[in-house]
Amino acid sequence: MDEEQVIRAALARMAGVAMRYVESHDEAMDCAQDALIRAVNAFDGFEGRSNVNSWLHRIAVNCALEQLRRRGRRQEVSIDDLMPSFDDSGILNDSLVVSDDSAETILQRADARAAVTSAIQALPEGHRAVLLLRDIEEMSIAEVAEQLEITQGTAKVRIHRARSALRKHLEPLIAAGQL
Amino acid sequence: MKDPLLGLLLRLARGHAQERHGWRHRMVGMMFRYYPGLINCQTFESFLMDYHEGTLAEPSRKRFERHLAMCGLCRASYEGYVRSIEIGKRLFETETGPLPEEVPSELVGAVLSAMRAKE
Repeated sequence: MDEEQVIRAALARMAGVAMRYVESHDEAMDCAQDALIRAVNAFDGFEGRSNVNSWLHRIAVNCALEQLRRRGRRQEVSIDDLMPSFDDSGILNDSLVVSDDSAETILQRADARAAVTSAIQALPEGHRAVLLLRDIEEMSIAEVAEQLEITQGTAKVRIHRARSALRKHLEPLIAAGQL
Repeated sequence: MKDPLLGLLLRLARGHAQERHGWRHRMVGMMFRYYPGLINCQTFESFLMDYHEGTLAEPSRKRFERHLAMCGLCRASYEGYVRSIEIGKRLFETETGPLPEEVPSELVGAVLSAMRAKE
């Protein structure tokens, strides 16, 4: 693989990471370019404590978050319909029987992988970002709040709502006997 | 549970998921709401995140776990919540978001220029 191909592959991968956070391919490509140039300039400071891919991944996430902060908050689609509802007695209305299949078993199926990716992409931007930072990047709630310049209380509420919405989106995958 | 009244109510609670509009359902709703030390599904849901994060303090934690043991609806809801997090985590350990079909040449050129400038 020549130098140009290596760069092209790295840009594509970093754009894929950024694409988790931002809404358009153009924005993701801008983030990837910015991130890779930043990585090139900072490479002397890379101490090899993590592997290069993790390091590039983190830079791409940071660039995507900067992009979100620069752009400011957008009007988001309500996800109230995806929240659980309760009857007059305060009893849950939804009835779900969860299958015994593990996450690994479910994800062995290509259609399931595609469904999960699109379920996460379907979350409104602000909710998707908190979910990714907390559950995928494993940041603390304080770090999530700091990265997105929101209060910890707001971060907690959004994380919970995002997880609840994801659960609703993934119901056909996690429910027993529905597939 | 040692309390005989609670034992009786718990037997009533079994099956309330299937029978949503009868007297049993109403009794279970009242039990969750008014019996000391119990919570209803709505309160359970409001405790869910703190419980999952390990930050739910006593006595709420005990109440949450009691409800979890008693209510099949909320048990499934909680399992779904945990499973969804695991699925997202497992998927993104190996995959990025959707990859671009093509990387514009000017972007590659900009990175190459940055590399040359550094050399």
